[in-house]
Amino acid sequence: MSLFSRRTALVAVFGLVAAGCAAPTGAAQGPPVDGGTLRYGAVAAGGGSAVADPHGSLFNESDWVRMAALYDVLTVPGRNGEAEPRLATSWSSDATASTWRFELRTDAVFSAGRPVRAADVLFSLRRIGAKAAQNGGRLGTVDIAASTAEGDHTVVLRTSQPDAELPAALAGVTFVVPDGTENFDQPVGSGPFRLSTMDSQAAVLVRNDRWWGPRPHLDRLEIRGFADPQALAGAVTSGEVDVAANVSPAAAKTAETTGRLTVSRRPAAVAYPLLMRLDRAPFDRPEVRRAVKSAVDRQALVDAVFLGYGKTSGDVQGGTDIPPPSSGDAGSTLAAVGPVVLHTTTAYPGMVSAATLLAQQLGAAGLKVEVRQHPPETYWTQAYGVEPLAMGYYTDIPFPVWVRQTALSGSAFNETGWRDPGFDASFASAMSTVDSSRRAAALTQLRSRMAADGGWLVWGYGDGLDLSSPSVHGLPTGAGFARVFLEDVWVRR
Amino acid sequence: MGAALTIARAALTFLLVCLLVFVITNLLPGDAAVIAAGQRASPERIAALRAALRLDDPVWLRFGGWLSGAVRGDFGRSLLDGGPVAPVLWSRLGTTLYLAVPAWCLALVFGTTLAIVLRSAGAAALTVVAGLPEVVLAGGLVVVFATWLGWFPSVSLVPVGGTPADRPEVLVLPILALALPATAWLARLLRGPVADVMARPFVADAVLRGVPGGVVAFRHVLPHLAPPLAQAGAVLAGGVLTATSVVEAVFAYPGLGQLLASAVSTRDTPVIQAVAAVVTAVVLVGVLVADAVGVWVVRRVGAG
Repeated sequence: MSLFSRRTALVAVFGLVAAGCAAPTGAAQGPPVDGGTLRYGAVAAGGGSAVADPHGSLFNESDWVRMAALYDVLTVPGRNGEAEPRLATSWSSDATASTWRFELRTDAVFSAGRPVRAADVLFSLRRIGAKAAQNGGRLGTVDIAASTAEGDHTVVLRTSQPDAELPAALAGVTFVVPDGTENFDQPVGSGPFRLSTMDSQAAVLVRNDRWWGPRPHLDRLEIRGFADPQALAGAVTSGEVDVAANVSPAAAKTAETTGRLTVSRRPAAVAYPLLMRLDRAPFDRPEVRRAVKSAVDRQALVDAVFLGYGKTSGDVQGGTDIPPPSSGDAGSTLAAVGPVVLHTTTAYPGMVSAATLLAQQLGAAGLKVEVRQHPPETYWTQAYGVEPLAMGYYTDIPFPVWVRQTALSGSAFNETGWRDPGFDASFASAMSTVDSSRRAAALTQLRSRMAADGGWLVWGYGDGLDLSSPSVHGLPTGAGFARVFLEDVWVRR
Repeated sequence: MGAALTIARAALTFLLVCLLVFVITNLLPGDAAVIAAGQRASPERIAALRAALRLDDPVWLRFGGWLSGAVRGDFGRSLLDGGPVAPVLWSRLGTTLYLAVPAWCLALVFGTTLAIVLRSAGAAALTVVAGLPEVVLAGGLVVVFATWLGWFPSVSLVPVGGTPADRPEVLVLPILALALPATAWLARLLRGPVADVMARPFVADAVLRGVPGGVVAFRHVLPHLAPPLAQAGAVLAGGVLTATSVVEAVFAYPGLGQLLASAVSTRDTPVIQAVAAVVTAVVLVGVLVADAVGVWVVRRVGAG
């Protein structure tokens, strides 16, 4: 009898364990459930307290997520890198894409009760423009001094140069606050959530029932910053948070093998390119650049650095659509080049492993490469963009934004020394092309040319990886800042 | 007269330590402007940030400005998030004290007890535990008590807007991680003084008179241990506070140690200065109290 009951107990235990393992793979998630709290963890490497000002430097991912929940923006990133309506319901430009009219929704209200007007949008954009040094020029091409509000629900933005991609370039970053706000300790926004409590580590937001959009499923959103990525992964593993955003491929692999957490993948979110300066020997010679590009094994890099959570690509920022060059015999060209130093940094773990593997692969192809590591505090100013051969770091910002930052003759910081008046003109012409399919074709052509002739070796893109409890559904999967908008998330308890 | 001199010396030490921390922070490569600017920042943008943060001012001017504020309790604003430092500092200090005070008390009680009980035995074991890096110990505690046994959470998250007292279970592992090496360190340090006191005639006399061991320890040994114990306790307070930077990182515990670690990595000088000033003040006050205890004991108990 006692033997029997012990066996029963054992079977029951095994059944429970099996059920626990099977749970996350259950595909039937059913219709969204209302209610509950989402405990969201993100890395917050800097700062003693959370940033209050939505228009200054947002150093931490946890700050971005909180701002995106509290405030509305003109446009949000949608599929295929195109902008989707948010506070702006529609937009149109003149024939040269230099004057843009954004029509605003009429039903948006701030949590303090006042409707959102064009003057609030213009005030917020002016603040963002005034803090360009802090926020890295978030307004892009907008000439804010020449921009105006027309009535209560139209904003007219003028650009300093034609910019047919302006709505996409602004997607997700134009947090709108009430006209005249300079103190953000008690934030007043018109977003899907409003602030309940906040301390130096975390913020609790509650659903804003006056939000114009579809009613968010969550009652509460708890956003917590973690200084240590390892502690963040540990927190979601032990169920102390429901989501760990932007974890390392290793943490995702571990979670997948234990099977108790869901791994969500946002394609092509990050890249660690090899950067060859066009104005420094030996990479000033096109045949050397071509030889280096054809010598690397891209799939091996994706497998080792992103642990397979990624895709090989052609040699340009902005996604995996440009095919990689055909691999060829580069030995004779590379063997004639003297030993080179590849500079990298510990800022992101993948940058060191990518550099090491690239050095090995190039070494096997006849080019001797020595890897030199720098601390993150000095790397971006002293090695990156300075040394002939260095590692870079790309997030999925829109391609035109990246080009203006670093690939035009007039760019303030040119990471590879790509200066080509012909390219500048073609880019300007593409950016003044209002027809989207013609513009897309022109941009693809430019990107192919950069991939073939440039100093970039973008061997592949890694996925953005989020770990979550199986009860969490509806996490964002889109590109760029789409990742910080959480109003569609729901939790089944 | 002697007391005034002591306090003046302590104040000078405090000043020198603050200055030293300021100078060392300034010698670190990179500054808050470079960190905030991040990647692809033009030299013009970094210069603009530097000017806005007043990092261009001479070091002595910035230190003077900081000091004049600090003596009035105004620790300035964070270079990174722009918020005032003082409220964050005091809230983080409070959170850390939930770890540091229990760990310190446990180390004092058990360290002294171990020194008296073990005397010369177990020297090797004490050396090993005392030398164990907190990060290894904390990691081991997580594996055993959180991952395997599931008794305590593996990260020590504090409820938003609440205090650690709302979730006391999150305190156990970090306190242990702080207290274990501190206990071993103290026991090792006190073994010598214990042996000295034990060898004194009045202890042997008490033992011969048949006084129980516990009473001997309490009534005869402990009072004579007070001066070295007080001094070790002062040093220990500084040690435990310093160790929180490692332990808090492992447990994602929002305390002073983590504040210091992130401030150093982002070159947030006002925050670094404030944390350093608080830790220095704690250690200095501890040393002053320890000296006073020593004097008081010598007067009361005499030379033995």
